Amino acid sequence: MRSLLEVDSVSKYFEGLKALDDVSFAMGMGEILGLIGPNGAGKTTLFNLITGTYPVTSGSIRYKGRDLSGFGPSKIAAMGIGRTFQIVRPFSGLTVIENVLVALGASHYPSFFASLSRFRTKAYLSEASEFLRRVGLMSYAEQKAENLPLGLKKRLEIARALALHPELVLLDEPAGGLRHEEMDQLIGLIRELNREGVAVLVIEHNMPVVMELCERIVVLDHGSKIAEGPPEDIRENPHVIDAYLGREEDA
Amino acid sequence: MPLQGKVIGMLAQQIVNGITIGSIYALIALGLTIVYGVLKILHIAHAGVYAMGAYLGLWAYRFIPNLFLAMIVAMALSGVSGIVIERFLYKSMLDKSRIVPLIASIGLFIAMEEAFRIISGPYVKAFPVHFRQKPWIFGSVRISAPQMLVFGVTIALLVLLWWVISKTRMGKALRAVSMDREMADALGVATERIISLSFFISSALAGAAGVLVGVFYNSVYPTMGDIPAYKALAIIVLGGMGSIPGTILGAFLVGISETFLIGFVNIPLPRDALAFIVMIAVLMFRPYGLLGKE
Amino acid sequence: MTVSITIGIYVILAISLNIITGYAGQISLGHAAFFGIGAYASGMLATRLGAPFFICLPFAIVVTGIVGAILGIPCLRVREDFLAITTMGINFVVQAVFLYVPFFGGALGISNIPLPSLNGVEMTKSVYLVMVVLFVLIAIVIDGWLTRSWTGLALASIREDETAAEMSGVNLTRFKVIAFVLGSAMAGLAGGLYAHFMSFISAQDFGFPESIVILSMVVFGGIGTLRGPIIGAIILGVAPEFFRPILDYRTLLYGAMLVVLMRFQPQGLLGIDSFIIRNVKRLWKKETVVNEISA
Repeated sequence: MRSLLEVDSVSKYFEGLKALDDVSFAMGMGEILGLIGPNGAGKTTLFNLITGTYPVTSGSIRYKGRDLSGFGPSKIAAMGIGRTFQIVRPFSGLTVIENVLVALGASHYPSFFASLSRFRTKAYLSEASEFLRRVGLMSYAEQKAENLPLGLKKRLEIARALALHPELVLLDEPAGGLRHEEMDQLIGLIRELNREGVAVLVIEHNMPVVMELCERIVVLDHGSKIAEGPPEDIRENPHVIDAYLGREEDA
Repeated sequence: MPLQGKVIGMLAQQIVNGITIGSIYALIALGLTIVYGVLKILHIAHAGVYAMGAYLGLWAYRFIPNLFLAMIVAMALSGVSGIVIERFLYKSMLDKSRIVPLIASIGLFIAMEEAFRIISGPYVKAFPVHFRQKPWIFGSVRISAPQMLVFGVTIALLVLLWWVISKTRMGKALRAVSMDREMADALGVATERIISLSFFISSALAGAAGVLVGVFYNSVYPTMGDIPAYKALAIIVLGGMGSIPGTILGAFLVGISETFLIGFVNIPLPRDALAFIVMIAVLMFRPYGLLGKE
Repeated sequence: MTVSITIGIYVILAISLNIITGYAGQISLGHAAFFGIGAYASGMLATRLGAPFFICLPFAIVVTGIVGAILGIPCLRVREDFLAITTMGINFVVQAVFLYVPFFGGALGISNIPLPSLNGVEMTKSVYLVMVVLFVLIAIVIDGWLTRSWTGLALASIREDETAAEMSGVNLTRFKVIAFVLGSAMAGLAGGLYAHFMSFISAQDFGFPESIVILSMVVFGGIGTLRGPIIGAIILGVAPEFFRPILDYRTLLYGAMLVVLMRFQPQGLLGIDSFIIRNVKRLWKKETVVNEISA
């Protein structure tokens, strides 16, 4: 199985502050990998490095064998890596379906002439509606994104990420702020994606969700990887327990 | 006098002049930076408060023969007007797009200038103050009484400001709100009152600057806020928006550069565009301003 | 007649600024600089090299577009609040260049810019008006196409949330430059039309107050819409005529208007979800319901 994503000895320093230190792991195609760790462990930073928002200080990140360094976030998104945010960032003033359409246009934007064409065609609208249907937002299509409750905004972000036709989706705390039924729906959705061959890298603090969903888990603490393995192993791992309990003692 | 002595003397005089101008810029720009730090708004109407301070000082001086007392009255009234602006205008715009308070501020500034013109007349009014103090002379450097006034008041106000910001609880709260308003709120800081306080301080400083300028140049006129309006903006950007020391540094940098430009160099550039040119130059090396962060 | 032509020019200016500030969400407080660059480019080509109008105008458009791209680059890297001041600074610097560099005529400006002529016959004012209206229509068509294209959608996404836009495949730099080039080129067009109509231009016409006038037209009508800038330009362009009797209070009212507008109706008179638009929609719904019942 060729690796879809390879994080190879990646370190990141911000003005002398160490955010990540020599982190390495790999993801296979269609895998669900969990990324956990106490607050400040560097999880979101890692996401930002993968999506190209920040450059790595050292090490490399490879996607489908290709080194991602030097590529900007928009290029990486177009390459097939989708992402959601810890604090939702919908396009508030646009309608729900327009939110999805923005991502659908990713293949058009690099070309001057392709960008000239109309986006509100039947073909594109139905393609976008399809993504809305999958996350259960069809009936909200023409509503302004800002009017949606939090749970639906989160689903919209997922639909938007899916419109990139990604092979890898980065979910940053998708369960945060969700009610119980919404959480079940979320898990179901992620499983469904996975069946279609989309790999999912998920940051999550909600342990039951992580344990249920992920085939493997990577644990970060203070910027370093302290454990990697299937959920059962991680649950028992003394270093992991230390990291979380240690944090509680500090607090 | 030998040539070097003369040149040094000229240099020194220009520096003194530059510091004078820089002091005034600092007083104006500080208010702008404090408001920005706390509300992230570009308070262009600040220049209107500055001009209003000059008018208020002039008016107060008619009844109060003491210039310092008149200045305090002007500062107090300016400060109050700052709070009024914040409460009635900006408060309701905090959740809107940035352009809303910006245009409101510009509109207010325009209206204020026109109000001054209509009420007080378009002509330049004199602000005659008789200084008993004789100028200090060190070699070929001459510091006039008005200059001493500017230095004195600026130093006093800056020290006062420094003391309030670093040594009082209010000052700490102010810094907290500037850094992260939501966090400050969550920690129980009376954010609304701190915001009003910031406006009071900023506007009082602007009022003081207005009086000083009115006295120093012996003129008060409706459009006197025009040039400080945009210059102060250039200064807070080049100093680092929201940074008080950066703003002070930037103000003196611009003040001294301007004085040198007029005094020594003969580039056919308008003195007023200089502030922006300096700003652009600084931004090229330090994109967040001299002492800006993030 | 003069008023109509001036309003037409303002409509084009307002639409052009709306592309940068309304669609792409990049605050520009220095748009008059592009207006001026277009005017000077066209005027100088006509007076210095004697080129005919229909060469001068495209020249003005191209030159302004190029300068727009160049000036757009520092604006790209700069954060939102910095952007306002940077564009303001650009306005001042450009104006200073026009005023102090002798090549541009200095304080005297450029004079004797001719009206366009064919075969030696000078265009009359009425024909000029028709031409201006034509260009207004072209601007409207371009704007309409823009909002319906993927480019327009990309600009809107940048306005709403830059980070999310990037994550959705939108290259920020590329599209911000596109917005700047388009907006400035169109302003250059307006500048050329202005120069040949006024026959005399000087740096005074293109300063910061002028930029604010253009911006307030966009905001008054409704930023981010197509109808907004058009209505704003028309109303604010015509208004000074109606306020002649109280000439002395005109500017005061203008300032007060901006304050009141931003306080109570920041989306503009005909902006999205404005008071007027909402009531028009409500009346419309009532009408259609009534029609359906009586049908």
